[in-house]
Amino acid sequence: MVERYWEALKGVRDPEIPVLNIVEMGMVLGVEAEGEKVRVRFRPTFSGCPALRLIREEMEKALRGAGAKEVEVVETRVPWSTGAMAAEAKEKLRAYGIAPPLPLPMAEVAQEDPPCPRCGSGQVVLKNAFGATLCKMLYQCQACGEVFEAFKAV
Amino acid sequence: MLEAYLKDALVARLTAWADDEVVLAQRLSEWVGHAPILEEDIAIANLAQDELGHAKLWLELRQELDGSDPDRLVYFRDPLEFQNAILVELPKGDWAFTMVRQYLFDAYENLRLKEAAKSAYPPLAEAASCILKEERFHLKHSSLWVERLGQGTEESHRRTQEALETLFPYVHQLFQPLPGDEALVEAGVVPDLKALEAPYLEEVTAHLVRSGLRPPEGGYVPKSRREHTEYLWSLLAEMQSVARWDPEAKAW
Repeated sequence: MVERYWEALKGVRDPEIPVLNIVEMGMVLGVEAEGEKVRVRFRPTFSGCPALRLIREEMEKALRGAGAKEVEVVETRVPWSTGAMAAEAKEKLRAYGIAPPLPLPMAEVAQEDPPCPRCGSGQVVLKNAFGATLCKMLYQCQACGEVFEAFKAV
Repeated sequence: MLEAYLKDALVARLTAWADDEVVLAQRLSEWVGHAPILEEDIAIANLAQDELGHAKLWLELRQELDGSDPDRLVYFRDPLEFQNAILVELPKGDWAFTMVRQYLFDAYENLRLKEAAKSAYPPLAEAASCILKEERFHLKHSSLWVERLGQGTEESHRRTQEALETLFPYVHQLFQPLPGDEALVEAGVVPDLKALEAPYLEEVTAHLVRSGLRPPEGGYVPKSRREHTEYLWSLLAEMQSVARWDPEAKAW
């Protein structure tokens, strides 16, 4: 029964990164079902994320669509990390044109930049540590000229 | 669980931190559509949005303690009830003023949050860890700007030094304890701010000097967080206008 709700949640996408669902992003921490009552624990990615309200509504809708009569969505403060993002999710991001987040030690300690998602070159320049959404930065590739967004490693 | 005698003290502490974030977010948002270049317009909107998210986290912690509604606190309190430091309410000034203020505040936040992430009160430790992840990007951004402006042209250097003369004395207020802080520090709930002041001054002075700037000595330091300048009134009047105009609205 719980699997069915997990499947339903995989249909909920982050409106700012429409290729990823909230399960593969690592936002859902747990699903409990008791009869027709479902309780979901989730964590936001960035604290000021304006999509939060919409995501909550979509979660509730998806769970009701999967047969839940009563839905409780609990927002936790467990810090989210890009380390929780599944490998397939990172690949989807890259295919979509967004450089996936590097593992934290590479991004934070070694201060490495992500390779260009278009040509794979490591010759990239940070244009802006802030992008069109809270979770992204803006880069330009020196090799192919592509201007691309990169997911922040947090 | 938090012992009852610490509750009021923590409510006051969380309110002070949240008010700093809310007021600074409002000042930052005044640049949206007016920043010197498009990249910075985007960046500053991000910063404002992050600071608001941080205020939300602090106010939700407060809500768990006293049942207060975060929206009511932000949009319906009068200026004299706000507990923000004067540093964040001063008008946005020029780009140098905004970036120097942001740097001084970001450096303080990074230091304070690193300590707060070790809090004996788990909800506060978690909130601090979440915020710290985002604040690192802020500090990187503002410290680079201070360097760029300080070592840029004669004009950028002059403006940055002038901003520093006005702003620097106010940073001391960020480290002043509130009346209930002693008990909180003793219980390991919040970091001892007074103890963070010396490492802070050492860190920012080093960066400012590297950037060719001189932090001024002396200057007026506000005595408590109940002290405000006239600028807070107009800031709140603008920020709260929509909510006060239609208090029944469900979302602004």
